[in-house]
Amino acid sequence: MSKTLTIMLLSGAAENEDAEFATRLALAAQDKGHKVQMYLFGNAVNISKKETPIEGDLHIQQRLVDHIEPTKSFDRLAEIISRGGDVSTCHTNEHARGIEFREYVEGVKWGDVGGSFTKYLMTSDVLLSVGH
Amino acid sequence: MLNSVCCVVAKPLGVEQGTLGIRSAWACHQNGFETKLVYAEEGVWCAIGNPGYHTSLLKDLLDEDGEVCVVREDLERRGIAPESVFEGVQVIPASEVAEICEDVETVNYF
Repeated sequence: MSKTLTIMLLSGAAENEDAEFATRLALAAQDKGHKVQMYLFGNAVNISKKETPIEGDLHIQQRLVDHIEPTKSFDRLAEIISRGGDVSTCHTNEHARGIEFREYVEGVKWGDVGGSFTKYLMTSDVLLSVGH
Repeated sequence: MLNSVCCVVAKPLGVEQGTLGIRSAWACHQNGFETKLVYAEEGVWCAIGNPGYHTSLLKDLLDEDGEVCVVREDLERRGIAPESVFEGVQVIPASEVAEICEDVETVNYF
């Protein structure tokens, strides 16, 4: 029987593996036919924004680039949404980071804890908070 | 639908996750969910009435009959007297935290 999983993610892509874990878990749940909702809270709001690539030499060793790239979660987030996942952010935490004006990954919704998150609770079978 | 929530704040004042914990508890409480806020580990530093946003929101939550408690053993480990805890916050033994968790449908750790 299909269930609805809500993931509250508290970490961004770079400080630990939580974002990678949470996005992979969401995709795995969708593979099993479950509905996924994600609330991006705290530093997790960073993965809600489209990446802005720079041109030219990155001035980063290739082995470090190879280490970093798989941890980025923008593409997995977009895939979650393309499969019907519902993803929203805490705009207050975006504001705190000076990124509220930046464009979202396609399909991510502007949100807040009092509105978006509590609405997710109303339709959730399971809530999992991921972050440390 | 989840009807009841416990938010455990385990981060000290100044760490964003502690603020996210009390903001989540406040949002759930204000939207009609049965909500409990537990200060544990380093989170007990948020429960002693320091000036600033956290305590102001804690006061609002208590004024609106929010259920808030702090773990006695975690206070003791840090040399914080139970009398120092902000008025209205219940001091509970660690053994009661498990009971609180059993009483709610989801526990979220901040």
